[in-house]
Amino acid sequence: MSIPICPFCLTRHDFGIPPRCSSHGVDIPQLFLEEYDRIPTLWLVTVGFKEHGKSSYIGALTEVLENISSVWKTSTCQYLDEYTFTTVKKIREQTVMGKVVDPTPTWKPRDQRAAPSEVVESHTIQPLLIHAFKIPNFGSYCVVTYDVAGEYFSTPNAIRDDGYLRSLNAVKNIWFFVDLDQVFKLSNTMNVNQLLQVYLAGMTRMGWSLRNRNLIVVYTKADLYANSKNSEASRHFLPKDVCDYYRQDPFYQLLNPRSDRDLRKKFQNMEFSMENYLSEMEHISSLLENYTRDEVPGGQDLINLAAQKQIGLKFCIVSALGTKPGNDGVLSVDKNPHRVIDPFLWALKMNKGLENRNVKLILDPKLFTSDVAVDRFSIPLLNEFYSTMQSFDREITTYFIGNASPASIAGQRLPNQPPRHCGGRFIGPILDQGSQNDIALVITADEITDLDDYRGSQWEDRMHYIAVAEFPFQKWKNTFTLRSETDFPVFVNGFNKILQKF
Amino acid sequence: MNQTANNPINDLYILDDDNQNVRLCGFPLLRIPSLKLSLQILPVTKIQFEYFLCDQPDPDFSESVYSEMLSLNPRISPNQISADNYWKIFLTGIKPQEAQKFASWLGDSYQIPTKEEWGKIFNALNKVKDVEFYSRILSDYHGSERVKNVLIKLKDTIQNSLGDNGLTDTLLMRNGVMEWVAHPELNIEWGGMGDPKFHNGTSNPDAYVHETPRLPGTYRFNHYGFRLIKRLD
Repeated sequence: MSIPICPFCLTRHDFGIPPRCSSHGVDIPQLFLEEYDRIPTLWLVTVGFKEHGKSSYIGALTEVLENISSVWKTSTCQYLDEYTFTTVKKIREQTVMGKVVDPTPTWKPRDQRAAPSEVVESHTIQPLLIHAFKIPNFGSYCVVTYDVAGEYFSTPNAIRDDGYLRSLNAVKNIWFFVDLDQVFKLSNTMNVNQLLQVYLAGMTRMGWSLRNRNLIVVYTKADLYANSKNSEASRHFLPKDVCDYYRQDPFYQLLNPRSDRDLRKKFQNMEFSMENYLSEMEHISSLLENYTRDEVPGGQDLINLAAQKQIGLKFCIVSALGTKPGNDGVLSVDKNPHRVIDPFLWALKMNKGLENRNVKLILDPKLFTSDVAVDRFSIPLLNEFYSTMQSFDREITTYFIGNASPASIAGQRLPNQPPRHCGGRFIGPILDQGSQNDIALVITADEITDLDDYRGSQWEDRMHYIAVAEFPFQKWKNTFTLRSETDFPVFVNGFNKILQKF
Repeated sequence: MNQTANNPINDLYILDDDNQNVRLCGFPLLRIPSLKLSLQILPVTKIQFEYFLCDQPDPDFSESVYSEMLSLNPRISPNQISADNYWKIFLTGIKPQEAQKFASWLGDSYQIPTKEEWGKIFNALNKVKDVEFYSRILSDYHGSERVKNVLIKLKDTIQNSLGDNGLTDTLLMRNGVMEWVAHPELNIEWGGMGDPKFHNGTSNPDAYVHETPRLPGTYRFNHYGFRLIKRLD
């Protein structure tokens, strides 16, 4: 069992009894820990300018998930802690009253800020923790959602190293909320590309890899551009197929069947094909990409920049309320959400493509003995390197050559001595357990018996062989020879670059 | 891999459910319901034995013990397998008591076959032709890339260079290594069955004749390996 990533401080640590995150002074839900190995985690973060509909969307999504069993018969959801329960309840109360959801709470009263662009202070990160069970085609997930305040994206400097930024690194699939109504306003000074730039600036400043990330651009308040007769909106009307797709949401009225017998019956008899739904989502995404390029200010630049940074882009539309509130923030008619499930399904779908890429650190027991010259290698240097590697958000499992059992797992310290038993100079029993996405780093002070078994295999590109010696003992494609301690920084820099790309 | 092999004689053998057992390392196990047993489709390889060495702390299997075995039959990598050397992928030079320890590690029901069992298997499979045997296993193979490579190389070697004696050739019960069998005769604990290609033995499996090695618990023999069976009752 691996040590879970704490959803509050986003590091792995001992949780104690009762489980707590001591650095943030909060309790960890027991269910989160108990099911961590059984139910995979889907980390999600909202990115978007202030009042672009992030919180309203989360309110609508939780409501849909609560009622989803009307369509997906075996699916259900469960809130894991008091905070999630009360936050969702508060949003629900506001929407029942027909009000627009309050913006994401900030952690410093606005009247105490020197300027709207003031740098955001550090504070306890508080995600929503939800178990979503038995989603067709995907199974069960623990959904950890960070609803990041829009102020974070006001300027590139507003993002800095605190809990929220750490959540940006942990999450590979980002919900990028864009309110079309705001974007098309003549008075608007920030376009969608600038939002991406703010996000990228924060990531780059922290030295985090941008590869293997996907942006799910969620166009909110889509009702205005699919239904409205408003002349300004009609200038930027969504493509006809997208408007049709918006209107024909099979989950439309999902929130009402409890009170409506006919609707209940309709949902009971509804046949739902996830494959068809996902393929329609794919089609709509490509139409919206064209729309973004042609209509949305900064859209072409957003697409180009994402391509340049090798970030996957998908597009979808939602309307959390289905109607525009009045100037007093109150809805004049019942809310009528549409296509709320799409960003969630995109996140699930794209998360599948981002399997964990873990590092197997395989050490030679001889490194811990006097067999290796002290001027070539030292354990403190190895510890330093291990700490650096941990910052790359990879699960590092340490092994010793000749022992198939892990010596330390993700979140634990590097072992300070080899196990008593090592059954020979073999790495095969360790490598054969790995997934096709893993990377291996072997640091050895002698020849490895079964290294040749992997020549021409997928490990040839994914295994790095570090010989602590004057010359490498064997030939291997990715080899580094550590002749003295002074070579160590060169090796660490080189390997860090590999991890960034990996 | 745990599904029934889709072959024309699948009432004779199917792939065993225990193929998910990670200690088999992805080397398949074949179930023969009529004999109420499953057997390893190949003699135990060095790769499998290395899994055992890396998993089981045992002073009887120090690095020097394994080196002694390798000195009798050096190790090759899967990429090097050819008609001239394929037997080097298999573990030989092992004493029968050591092979028993390996069997216990694999699971309670794994045993070195008796001469009687080995002979019955040989006779049941000797006249059976199944040229698609390896292709079928490989078409739905989920084990490691390394072991898959061994199976591919052996398939090519066996198809191209060995005789035409049916599954006993395919499974290298012939042209493989001499295999330890238990209780070949009353009061004799260990013997050998097989027809190793690279060594002249006195066993003649067609005639149910075993070989009796001298002091099997004391000496290591470069042509003696083993394969295990799993009894089903």
